[in-house]
Amino acid sequence: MFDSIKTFFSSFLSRFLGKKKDVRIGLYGPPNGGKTTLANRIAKDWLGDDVEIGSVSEVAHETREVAVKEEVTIEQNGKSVTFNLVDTPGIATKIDFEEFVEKGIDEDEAKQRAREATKGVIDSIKWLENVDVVIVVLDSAIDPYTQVNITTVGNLQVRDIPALLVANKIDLEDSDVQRIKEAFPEYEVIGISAKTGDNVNELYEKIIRIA
Amino acid sequence: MLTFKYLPHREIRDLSSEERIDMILKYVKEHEIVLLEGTLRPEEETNLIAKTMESIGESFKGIEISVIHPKHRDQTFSEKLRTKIADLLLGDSYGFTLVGSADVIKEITQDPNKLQFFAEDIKKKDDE
Repeated sequence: MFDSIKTFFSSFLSRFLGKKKDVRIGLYGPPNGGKTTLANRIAKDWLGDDVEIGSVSEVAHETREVAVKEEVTIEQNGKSVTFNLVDTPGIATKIDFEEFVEKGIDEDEAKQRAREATKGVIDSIKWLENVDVVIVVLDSAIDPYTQVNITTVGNLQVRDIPALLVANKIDLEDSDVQRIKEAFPEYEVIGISAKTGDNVNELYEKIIRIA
Repeated sequence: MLTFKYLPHREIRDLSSEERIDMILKYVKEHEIVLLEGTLRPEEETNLIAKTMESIGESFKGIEISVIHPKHRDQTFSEKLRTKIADLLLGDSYGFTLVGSADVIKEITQDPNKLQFFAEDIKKKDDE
């Protein structure tokens, strides 16, 4: 049954990307899942080494504004797909400036970062209205069964937004792609490392194959 | 002392989404742990997150939320059918939703069948 649902999503995505102009693919997920690292990887691979979508950090909520890169074209085996890539701030239910202070950030700057991060979460949620396809980026080294992840995926389902799940950080020792597959069996899960580039071709192939 | 506020479905079923969310956040900001009979719709959950973000400041750091829902993928066909019928009859009253201030609930771990949370008695802390 799940295979048929996956096929439906693939087919829907294929028809969708094939017909609509200015398709927006949104990168969604919790903070520190590696959305911006993946956005930068896609930009580097397809737009050139000097192109970067955003800065990355070990401190959560580094991305606090939605960033859009227009006309990203992925080409492989004579096929291609062009889309606008939307990198969004991580969705969270709590933001504590003191956690930023503990990471060595000055208190005033930490408070400002927290204010910007709260606005970023709201913007991410609003942007759900504007994306056509979503790639949910999850850290495969941590428990995926959180309410934020469930809420994010649930919203994609009720809004009929086609989605792929990326199990990122497969380069880490604790990575467990299977755990994500078991948590969200109705979705196709692709294990990658956006940081090292491991297996990103499978993600590109998936996007192209269904386009 | 940790305080739970139990919200039975009948108390919220006639409220609008905004009113439900406002009620939950009101109790949460008073450091009560809200145990809601039933679940919010996914759109309501994102609205709750957005409203939480609007409220965050130095004295309110956000929320922890978790849902225990019987609509689990390992349900047998008859269990799924019962769940479906209950949904039709009772709306979103199946399952439970736990919401608390991030100051009070430090961590929630969940799997489809059980939920564990670690709480701190912040009211006692305030009184000291």
